[in-house]
Amino acid sequence: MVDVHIKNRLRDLLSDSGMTYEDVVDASTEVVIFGSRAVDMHRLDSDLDILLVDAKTDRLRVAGVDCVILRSEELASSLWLGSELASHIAEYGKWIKGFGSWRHHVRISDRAAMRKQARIVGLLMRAPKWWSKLHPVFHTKYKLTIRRELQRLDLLRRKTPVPPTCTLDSDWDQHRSASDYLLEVAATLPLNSPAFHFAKICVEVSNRGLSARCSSNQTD
Amino acid sequence: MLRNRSRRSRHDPSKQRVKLLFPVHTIDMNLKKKKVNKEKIRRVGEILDEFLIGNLESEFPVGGPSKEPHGAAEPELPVGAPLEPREVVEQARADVEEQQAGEEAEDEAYDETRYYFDLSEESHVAAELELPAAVPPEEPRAAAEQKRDDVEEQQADVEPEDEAYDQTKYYFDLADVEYCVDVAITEMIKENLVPGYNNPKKPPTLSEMFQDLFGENHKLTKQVEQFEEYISGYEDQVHIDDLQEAHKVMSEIIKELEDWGGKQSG
Repeated sequence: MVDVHIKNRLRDLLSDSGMTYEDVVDASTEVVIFGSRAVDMHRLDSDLDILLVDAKTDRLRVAGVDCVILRSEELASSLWLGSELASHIAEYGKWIKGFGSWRHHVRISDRAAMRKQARIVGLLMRAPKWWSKLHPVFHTKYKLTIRRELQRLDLLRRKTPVPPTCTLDSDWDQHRSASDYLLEVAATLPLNSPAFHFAKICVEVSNRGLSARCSSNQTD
Repeated sequence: MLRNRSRRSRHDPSKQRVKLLFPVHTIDMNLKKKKVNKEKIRRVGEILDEFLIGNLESEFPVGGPSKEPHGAAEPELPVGAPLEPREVVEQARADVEEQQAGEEAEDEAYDETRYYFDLSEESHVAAELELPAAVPPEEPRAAAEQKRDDVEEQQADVEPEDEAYDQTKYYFDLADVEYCVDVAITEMIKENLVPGYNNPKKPPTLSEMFQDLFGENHKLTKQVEQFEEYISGYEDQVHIDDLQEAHKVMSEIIKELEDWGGKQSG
């Protein structure tokens, strides 16, 4: 169940954008909170991640709310049921409305891991081209992103739902996620030498603790 | 499907409210009309044009004919001035012509020179001389069209399956877009065009910078938010339609920045 703080937060954010809680919740057949706020590990500036099913709108633009809108028929599709997001919501989501019967059919697909792999390869292979043109603050951002994505890839390959980013960071900072192991994950990717070297830089031990200072947030 | 994700509001850490025991009148600094240096505005426009539009156009089939190496975009894409190296375009054209030539060779029904004749008078007369007398002109045309319909129908049966598996034609890696945008932001930081971003502690977004330049509710800020929404993608990929729209919105922003800078100076 969703605690009253989350509901109030949603109510406030919607109200700030000229909407009511009822406008959004009553109009949907299913409403789920996910991400860091669902596990109560959020920062003050964390967005509220929300899944709406059969909402009356295609898009919901509310400051502070990151919204995914799906139709009920999509929930039954293999594409959804095998996705990283579906497995994350099924594991960590908190239902405000509806029962989420689909979550019992979620199984992380190979496709989800392949997509993540493509994402990491894209970031790493292109990094050398852009790196010197980027401000150091973006260097930190991409190092963090790549390290987190490697953690996610490892989990997806093991068919384990990806936790909110704050949990990934916490695991990393407390050395529950080892650099050597993440490098082994990176070594399985189709990377050239500069890209692999870049992966090494991203998972260096010295990067631990960066996440506390940087607010680049992805999944949640 | 799955592309309804609304944009992340990256610039909204402020919604945590402090409950006050008494009413306090505050001034929302973001809503105050911003006084902006026209030179800086012009420079922001130049940077966005050079580093953002320039990089987007070199990396993606936007603002010009599509590029084969990325996987061709849909032929219906709106195109502007050609941006690719001439050899690429010519090579693509040669490939198409070669393919057409091959198809025509295989399929006699496509030999238009046999059944279609120039409408200009001299050539029509000349053509009539060569026209096989025993075959009425409409008959082979109908046959050709029928055959063409059959081929197209057959292709249509095959294409949906191909399309379902070939997402690379329409979806592009989000990483490229992210790097393009961040390089443009870096240039703005380097030139200290937006106060407060000369040494940022966290990676700023374009909309945050515009918010500080023009105010939260300024039209340009809203347009930048729209741009960010188009490039936010889903599952780390961006659809070509969204890229095209993003390119269009950013081009409009740059035009307005130019006009705005000019208007301020005048």
